[in-house]
Amino acid sequence: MTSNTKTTSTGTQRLPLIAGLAFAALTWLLLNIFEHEYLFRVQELSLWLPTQVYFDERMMVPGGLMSYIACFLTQFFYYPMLGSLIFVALLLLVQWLATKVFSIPTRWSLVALLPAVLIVCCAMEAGYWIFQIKTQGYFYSMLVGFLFTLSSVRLYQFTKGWVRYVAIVAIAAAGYPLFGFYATLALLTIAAFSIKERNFGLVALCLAAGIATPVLYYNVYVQTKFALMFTAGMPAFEFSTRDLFTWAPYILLYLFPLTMPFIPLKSESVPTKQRTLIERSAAVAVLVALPLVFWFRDPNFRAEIKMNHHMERLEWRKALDVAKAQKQTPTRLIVLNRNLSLLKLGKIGDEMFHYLDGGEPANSPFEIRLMQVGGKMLYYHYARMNFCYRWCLEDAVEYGWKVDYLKYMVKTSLISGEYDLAMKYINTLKKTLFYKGWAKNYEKFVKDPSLIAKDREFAGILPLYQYPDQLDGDNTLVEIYLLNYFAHAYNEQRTPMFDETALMCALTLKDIPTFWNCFFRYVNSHKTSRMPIHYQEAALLYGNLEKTVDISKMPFDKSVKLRFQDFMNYAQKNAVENVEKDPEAKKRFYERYGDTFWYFYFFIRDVKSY
Amino acid sequence: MRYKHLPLLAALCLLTACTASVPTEYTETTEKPLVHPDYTNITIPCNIAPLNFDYTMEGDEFITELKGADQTLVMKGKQTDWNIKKWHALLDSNKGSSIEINSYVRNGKEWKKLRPTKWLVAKDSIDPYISYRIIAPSYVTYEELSIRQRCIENFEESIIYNNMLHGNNTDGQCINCHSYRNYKTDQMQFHVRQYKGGTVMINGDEVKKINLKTDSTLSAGVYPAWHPTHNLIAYSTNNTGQSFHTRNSNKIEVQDLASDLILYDPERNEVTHIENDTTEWEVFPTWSPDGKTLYYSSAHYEVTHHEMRDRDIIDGYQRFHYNIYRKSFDPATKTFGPRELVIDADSLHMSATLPRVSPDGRYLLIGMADYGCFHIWHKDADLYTYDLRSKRLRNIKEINSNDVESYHSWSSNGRWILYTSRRDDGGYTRLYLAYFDKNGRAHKPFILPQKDPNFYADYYKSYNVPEYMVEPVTITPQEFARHIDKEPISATFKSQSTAPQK
Repeated sequence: MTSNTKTTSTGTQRLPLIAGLAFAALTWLLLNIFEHEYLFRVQELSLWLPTQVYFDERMMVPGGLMSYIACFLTQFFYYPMLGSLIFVALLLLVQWLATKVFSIPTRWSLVALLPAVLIVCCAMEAGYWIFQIKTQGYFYSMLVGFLFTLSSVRLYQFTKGWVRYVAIVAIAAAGYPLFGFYATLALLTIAAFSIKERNFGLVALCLAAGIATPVLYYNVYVQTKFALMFTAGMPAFEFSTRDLFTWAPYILLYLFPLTMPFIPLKSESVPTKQRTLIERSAAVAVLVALPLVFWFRDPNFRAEIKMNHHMERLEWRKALDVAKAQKQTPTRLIVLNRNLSLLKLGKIGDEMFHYLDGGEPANSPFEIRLMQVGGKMLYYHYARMNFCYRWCLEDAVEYGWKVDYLKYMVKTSLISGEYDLAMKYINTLKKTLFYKGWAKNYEKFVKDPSLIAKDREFAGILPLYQYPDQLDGDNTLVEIYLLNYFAHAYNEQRTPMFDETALMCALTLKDIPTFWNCFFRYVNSHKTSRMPIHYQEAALLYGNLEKTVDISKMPFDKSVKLRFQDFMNYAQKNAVENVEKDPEAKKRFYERYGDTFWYFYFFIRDVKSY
Repeated sequence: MRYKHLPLLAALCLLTACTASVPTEYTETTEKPLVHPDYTNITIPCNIAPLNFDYTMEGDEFITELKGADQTLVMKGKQTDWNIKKWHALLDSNKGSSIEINSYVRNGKEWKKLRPTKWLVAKDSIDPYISYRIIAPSYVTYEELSIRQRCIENFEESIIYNNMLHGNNTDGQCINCHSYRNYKTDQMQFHVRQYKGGTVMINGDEVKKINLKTDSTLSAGVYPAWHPTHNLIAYSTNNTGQSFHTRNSNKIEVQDLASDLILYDPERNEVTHIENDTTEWEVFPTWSPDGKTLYYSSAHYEVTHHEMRDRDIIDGYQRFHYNIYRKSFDPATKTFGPRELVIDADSLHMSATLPRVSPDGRYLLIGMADYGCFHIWHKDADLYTYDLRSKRLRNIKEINSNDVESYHSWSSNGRWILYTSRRDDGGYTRLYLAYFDKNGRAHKPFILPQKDPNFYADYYKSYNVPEYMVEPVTITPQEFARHIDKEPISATFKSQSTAPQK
């Protein structure tokens, strides 16, 4: 009996450790199994530099040290397994501190996991925000900030008497500039404890310090408007109903330390096993439900991130595998990435319509531009160097400098022949922890520009970099701009790759005269090659729809001609009014002709780019 | 306990650093010291901040010696960080003479002395303050902008106004065109565009926000020129657009789709036209030091496709050649004389912009490029002087580079040119200073010194609109923010009784 009690007691005492480790292991596994590429993308969309200028710029706003540390930690996602290990280790620290600060008894140890779980929710709910949020080091900022809150409250708890007053002033005066709102949260937490202790002097001091500190510091910081002094360090979402859901885990996180002092978790009586089971089940349910609600799991978003990951490495086939695995209507970015990958592999004319097509809007509560998500890479590979450079710079100015932008600025500057400029960005990347090697590799092109044409990546782009300068603008609509540019670039110097790109764009535009212009240019520059199937399909269709071009002598493949005849017969039998809007008919046609230009022409309609 | 001697060691180290001395044994070489920034063999103001530099050459150890007539400073290290008091003492005692810079480099056990270089310390001091706008060299977005002031006798920089004191995600605020009357800050102005827009006008302790746009003018005031003797400001009014080069490394083309000149009387809060010819693109007004002449740039362009006016202008961007004109001005009657051509840049197939008259009234300092008026984006843009006495136009090759040279200012004594250049990397605008001697020659320019000589390599923002000041702006950014928060006072338009003459 004694032995059993001891075992139970030891087991219960170990519950926080077991729960923490289980949570950490599960979180680490989930991050690495499902979010490997996402974590990598998060660090690409961040930047940390060990320079005085970088540090000073972070410190220009309240909470500067928090974002400095957050950016420092974010870069470790370069190795997602390592980065996520650091992330979960810090989550365990949150759990431990929460246990200590709020004296959470072993029986309720799962409650101490709540802030850690909420932090996971905050980090993983971001979705498309990673492209737009102006909070530097977004992924880690709430974790670093909350650690400061808990640590400072914990340190405060070791003080007594008048030292407590000094501690409160110190947290406000020193904590606010470094950690912003999270210092205020620490003060409010101390106030909550003081209310419970009925020490209203301390409550008054905490509240006064919480309000006065941002007001006083307004005269020190010259880059933050007055109202935002109170929220400095919080994520830069809008305070609107649009972003209410995004705010939710943050609000819960902020409420946790404010409510915990009032929740009576300690009890003298020993609960029954059944009650303990119910309590723990409820706690586990809450801990599991929160990530299920907030963790962003949109398949198109994930596909975009994965495709980007592969395309960055010139793994075009792997990018296509991601597109092929899609089960839902893709976003335009997925379609554009797919087309670029096919173009790079020389398979655009034969496989362009072998994939799901359409234009699902990005699953985002706010307006997101394709430009921000993947447009820069598209411009780069389609050799619109100035536009790629421009949008890297524009977004860097608006959302902060990121490794991703710097890399494209290096590459576009190299192709444009601006070697000094390329070197500036290379030198910056050389100062990062994980992009030194990348930067050194590109430095060789500055030292010897003749290597540019010999490089595999650049060599795949230079055939498209064959146009005279002109004044132009894209109105942030990447796809529309690229389609119109290539399909209508009649007077430009051409290469076979340029002609193929133009024809691809003409197919997407579904404009018959444009198609014929591009088609004949393509034929002229590909005299010795076989005519890809989709180009034959388009020529057959357009030749029959509008008899402006005589296609009778064109050497179509027999199989294509037979299939076209079959399609026409099937269409005559099954076509009804507005057939393209009839889901059943669409499905039937898709099953038979979903891999043809004809299906694309008739059924992929009203696609909106963004 | 093992570390109890650390403070002593640290003190010893400090002492050693302070008493660095040149090596006793070395080999003299003719090898040039490679330093960044290039501060070798330049003329410097007698009151400039320390010129810290970094050796960019291989070496295990470096010692730098600054040798004046009766004082010497020695520093150990790859990067110099001169003591500011000793630096100024050295400059003070060497006004009008030169300081020799001796560099010693150790590779292995051998010390060698590199070829000495010199700084000529000009007797002419430089105005102690400058101000500039800090902006990313972006195209449409700008996010955070600030107008800053810097004491160039040391490294102190402070913010005059930062747009983030008002702007936010949805309401952006652009700030630009800070300008002072006679280099003093008790009368100054800058513009706030878009959110809570207006022209912030400071007159002594009074701060007002004025809306200079009237129904009769093209826009609010843009490029300002404060009259030196009367409280009047000439502005250009501009309807500006920009388009993007698809390939040219100039990257963007900023063009005026229309522009005129106006005169603003702050005391009456009245605006009048100076020039408003629809076939003339007038811009960049500036007064002669006596206030009796107004210089400005203007391009003649006649739109041929009126139904597509903007497209016509954009497509014709290379045909905009700005000349320099002037008009006499009578401050008593506030009337202008007829337009007079000063520099016919068009005949040279060039475009002359931003005339600034030297304080002695002899020279015009102008920007020249192949076309257009927004030279900060034109890699061929250079600075020229025009001698108003000899009527000679000269490319100041000694201060120009292969990249952009643009916005420029004269110091109040006319001896120091402050201008912007993109020579370092082609993308980011930096400030350069150059001595302009009594013979009208400029000396080798040098970049605005920073405490950390590698600062610019890490800095991703541009400096623009550099202006000299003889004193700092004392109004705080927060005070400016409070005034900007208020509704603007609208200026009224008054048609001129005497029609402007061409």
